[in-house]
Amino acid sequence: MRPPRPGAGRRAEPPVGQTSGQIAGQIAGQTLEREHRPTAAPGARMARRQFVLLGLAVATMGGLLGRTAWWQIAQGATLSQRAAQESVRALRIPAARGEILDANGAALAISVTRDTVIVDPALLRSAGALTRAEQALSKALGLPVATLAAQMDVPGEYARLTGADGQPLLLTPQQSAAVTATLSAAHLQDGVALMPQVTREYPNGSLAAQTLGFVRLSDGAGQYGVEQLENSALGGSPGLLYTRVSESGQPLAQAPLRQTDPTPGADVTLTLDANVQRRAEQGLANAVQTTNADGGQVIVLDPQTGGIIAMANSTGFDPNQYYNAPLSSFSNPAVSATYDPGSVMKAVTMAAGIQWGAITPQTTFFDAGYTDVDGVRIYNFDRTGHGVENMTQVLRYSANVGAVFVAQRVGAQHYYQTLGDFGFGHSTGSGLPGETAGLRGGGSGESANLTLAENAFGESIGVTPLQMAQAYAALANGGVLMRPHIVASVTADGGLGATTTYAPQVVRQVVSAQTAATVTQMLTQSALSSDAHMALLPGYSIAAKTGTSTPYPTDPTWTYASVIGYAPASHPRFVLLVKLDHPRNVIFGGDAAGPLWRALAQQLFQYYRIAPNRT
Amino acid sequence: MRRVLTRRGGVATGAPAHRTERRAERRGVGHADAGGRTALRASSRYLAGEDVADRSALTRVAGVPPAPTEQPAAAHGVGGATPAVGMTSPTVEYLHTLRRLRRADWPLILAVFGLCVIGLLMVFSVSQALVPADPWNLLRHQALAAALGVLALIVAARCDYHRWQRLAAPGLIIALALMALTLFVGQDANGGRRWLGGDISFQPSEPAKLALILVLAYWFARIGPDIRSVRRGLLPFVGATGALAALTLAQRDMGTTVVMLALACAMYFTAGARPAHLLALLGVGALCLGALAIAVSYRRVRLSAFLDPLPPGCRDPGSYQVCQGLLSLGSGGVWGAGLGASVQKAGYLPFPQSDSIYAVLGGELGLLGCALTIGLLIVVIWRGYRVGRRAPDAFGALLACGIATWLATQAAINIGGVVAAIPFTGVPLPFISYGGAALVSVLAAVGVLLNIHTQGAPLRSAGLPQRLARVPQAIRMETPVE
Repeated sequence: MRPPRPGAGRRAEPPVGQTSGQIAGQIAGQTLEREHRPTAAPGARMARRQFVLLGLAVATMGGLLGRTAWWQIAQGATLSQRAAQESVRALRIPAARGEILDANGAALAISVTRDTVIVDPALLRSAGALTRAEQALSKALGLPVATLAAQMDVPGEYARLTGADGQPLLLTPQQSAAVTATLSAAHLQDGVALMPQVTREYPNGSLAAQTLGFVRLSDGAGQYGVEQLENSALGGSPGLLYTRVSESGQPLAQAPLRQTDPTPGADVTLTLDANVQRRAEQGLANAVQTTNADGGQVIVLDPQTGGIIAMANSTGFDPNQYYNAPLSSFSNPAVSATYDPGSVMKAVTMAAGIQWGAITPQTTFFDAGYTDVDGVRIYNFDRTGHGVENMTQVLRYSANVGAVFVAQRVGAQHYYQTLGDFGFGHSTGSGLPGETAGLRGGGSGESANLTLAENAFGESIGVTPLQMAQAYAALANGGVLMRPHIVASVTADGGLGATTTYAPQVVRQVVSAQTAATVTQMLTQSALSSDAHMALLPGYSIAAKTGTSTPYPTDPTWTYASVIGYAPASHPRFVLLVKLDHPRNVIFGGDAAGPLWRALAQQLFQYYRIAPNRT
Repeated sequence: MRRVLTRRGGVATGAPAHRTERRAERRGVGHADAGGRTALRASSRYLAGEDVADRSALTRVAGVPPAPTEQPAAAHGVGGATPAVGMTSPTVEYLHTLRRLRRADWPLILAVFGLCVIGLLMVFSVSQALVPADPWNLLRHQALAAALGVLALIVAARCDYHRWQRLAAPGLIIALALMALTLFVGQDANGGRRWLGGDISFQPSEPAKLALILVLAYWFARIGPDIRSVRRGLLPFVGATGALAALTLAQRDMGTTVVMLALACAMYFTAGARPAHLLALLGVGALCLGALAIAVSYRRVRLSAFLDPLPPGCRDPGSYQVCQGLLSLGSGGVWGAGLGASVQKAGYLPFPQSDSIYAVLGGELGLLGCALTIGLLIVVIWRGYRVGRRAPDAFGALLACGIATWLATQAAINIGGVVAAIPFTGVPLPFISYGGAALVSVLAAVGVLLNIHTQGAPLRSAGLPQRLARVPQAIRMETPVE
């Protein structure tokens, strides 16, 4: 195959490219190594013993594999289950909260996504960009650098910019765009980021604040007003995401095990009309200021349905920043505060008298200006007697003595029955949170007779403004008491699903339609010449009554001044209650509340396009 | 040291198999040679046209020492390039490289490669859970260590393992010194004091295992039959092993201590120890370890955790690691949850990158992954002992035996702790666990195995590249000469 090479059997030639010195060193080293070799060849015993060791090792590893298999197959199901118990969590996927719309479909409460600014001070500081970031954000947000520095020059890796109120700074879309542009221009994206957050916004600010309520930031629960009343409908149902989480609770980047989608909250349409509400609130604020009152309420009801068209309180708050408002401002006095209604109750007393057959409008009695009940002398408000007068004149002069006469003729049992039928002493069922039932007499104690007499003209009784408006609505509605309500309809699935309309609910026929018509006529006639004339408008038939209660006989100027009425008297479109708490410049119902009633009624006539029916 | 070695060299008698072979080559390649089979075998190792006599190149590329220099003066006198047959050097180098590769222990290389791949995959998987902000973090470090390890492997494979004899005594002394130093200035971590250094820290106990293997192999090979004596065999063995083991135990590293004792005993046994001595040592060692396991409180806790590895709630501090490991392992089932899908590594399972990586592997790759890993480990161990059985001399045999036992014991202790077959101790799983020093050490050890193999019984290593050269069956069946 190959010729025998020269020098065979001798030391081979050195490899190409090596110097003799290298070779010499190599050879010397090799010689040394050869000398280092152990003499003993690996004997057969050594090989045999290593074979034993190999057997041991293989057996051990095989056993360990078997043990592994035992855990993974025999115990696999149990262990998987235990591992899942430890690591699988159900995470809530929040549902979008529905909107609150007024009767015309205008948004009263909406959920919007706004950006908040989060910064990583540690990262910015290490990059030496903290000051630069502060200046860039200051420019984009229009905030002083010092304000931002106070929040950003802090230890740690996380800070969320807050406004002056301590709440997260919510950016407008314009601000978001400005911040994004500034950050990318200044190359600060690593240390500053925008984080979206869903917030509840009330575009009209404090409009109908107590009636709408607000959404608590911490847990998204509706508080007070419609937000609380319809919380479950508005809130929808959150979805659940079953996923594995790390030991610290962070969801792992894995496909979720099971997921149920959230159901968006329903849109709630109210009977409330934002236009009317706004006029009512503005008018009330003016009246409170003009009369130097402590406060007041305005309620507009639809007598046919019981729908609340407006419910205004003089004190409000901004639900967008509810956290800045005192707790006391959240409750809704229109349903939760009781007062002595005063003479406006006389219409109810007359209705009871007519319904029980105790009087007719033509029934007369002698008004001496006072009457004694169980030794207590009750005066007319002006301490003046009017001689013989009929029942319409009792309303015109607002004669307390006449009202006592009627109540006594009806008798306590029947009188309180009618009072109860009108809804006094019961919650109206409007559903608005914080509603109270009020207080009314009817007991059998020592002062039962006196209480009855005082109740006849609206003293020593506690009613809510809504109860009073509801009772007048029953008179305007042919004696049929309607349940006041504020939610007209609920449209599921964020306005895309089925709409559930809440039909008006009849509570009961309180008095006959005849009685209601009679009382309406008496109110209309008496109003013409009484101090309720302040409320009247030319050309419109208006059934109205004033009320001035003095709960503290020691201070007859500390009054609740109110006017309640409905119009047009023949076919009432609205019931309007105006109540002022403790007006000081003018203390009587007609003088204090009358002008506002007239102004609002005029606007309502125009708004509802109601033509004058009386010349 | 040099004096001793020189003296030993003078009485060298046992000729390894390949030496006979080289002599045949030196005689020439004639097929009509009296030892025809030997000659044929020599020639068949070269591809056509290769210069058989170019031994120096062979020496350099294959790490095979050349034949004894018969005429050193002639070699000195040659100098420069005087090729005898007219072959150019690059071709020769290339062919020699081919031959060296063909003779390598390919099952061992492939198994180690497979284990390293599994290890890098698992380290990557764990890295994503441990360092979410920088998912490549651990993988980067481990890949660097793997690259260093492969470098160490190649160096060790190309370096005649006999050279390491020189390092035996200094290695032991350095190891003892480092271990002692660690006790005083080392860093405390994970309940033990095992680490040296600051930014780039390492565990001296890793190279200490190599040092122990080296010194024992050197000593046992040197004393030969004296292994059966007490004075030259038993006492030096107990002294060296005991000192290192005691220092390791003082670092509260029970796992590494057991690994050291096991590989030392295996080498002692292989070297031909008296069964009586060995049994006595095993008895005393078992008693000592048992006493230590019970005497030290944290080991007592681990022992009780071993007896009840799955308490309800899995929150008992003693058994927490084992319990979480079993949850991870068991939830893998046969097929596994898929690479990266383990849940326990996300904060539940302590040390998922090192001590408990087998639990993560079992959870993500299932029984199949475990079986593959254990299978590859068995291949490595098998090839290790096989290299030892076929080593040209006692030193090589003992070296291979020690390395194989080291890998086997360490794997068994790691896996056994995870599957609650033995009390849990923190040792890395060879080739798999995260840890630079450990990976470089085991890869270097594999390099030593490869070198011993190269010098052992070359034609016995049935490897893939060997099929390239169609060697007659009869030649491959030839047994090495004792």
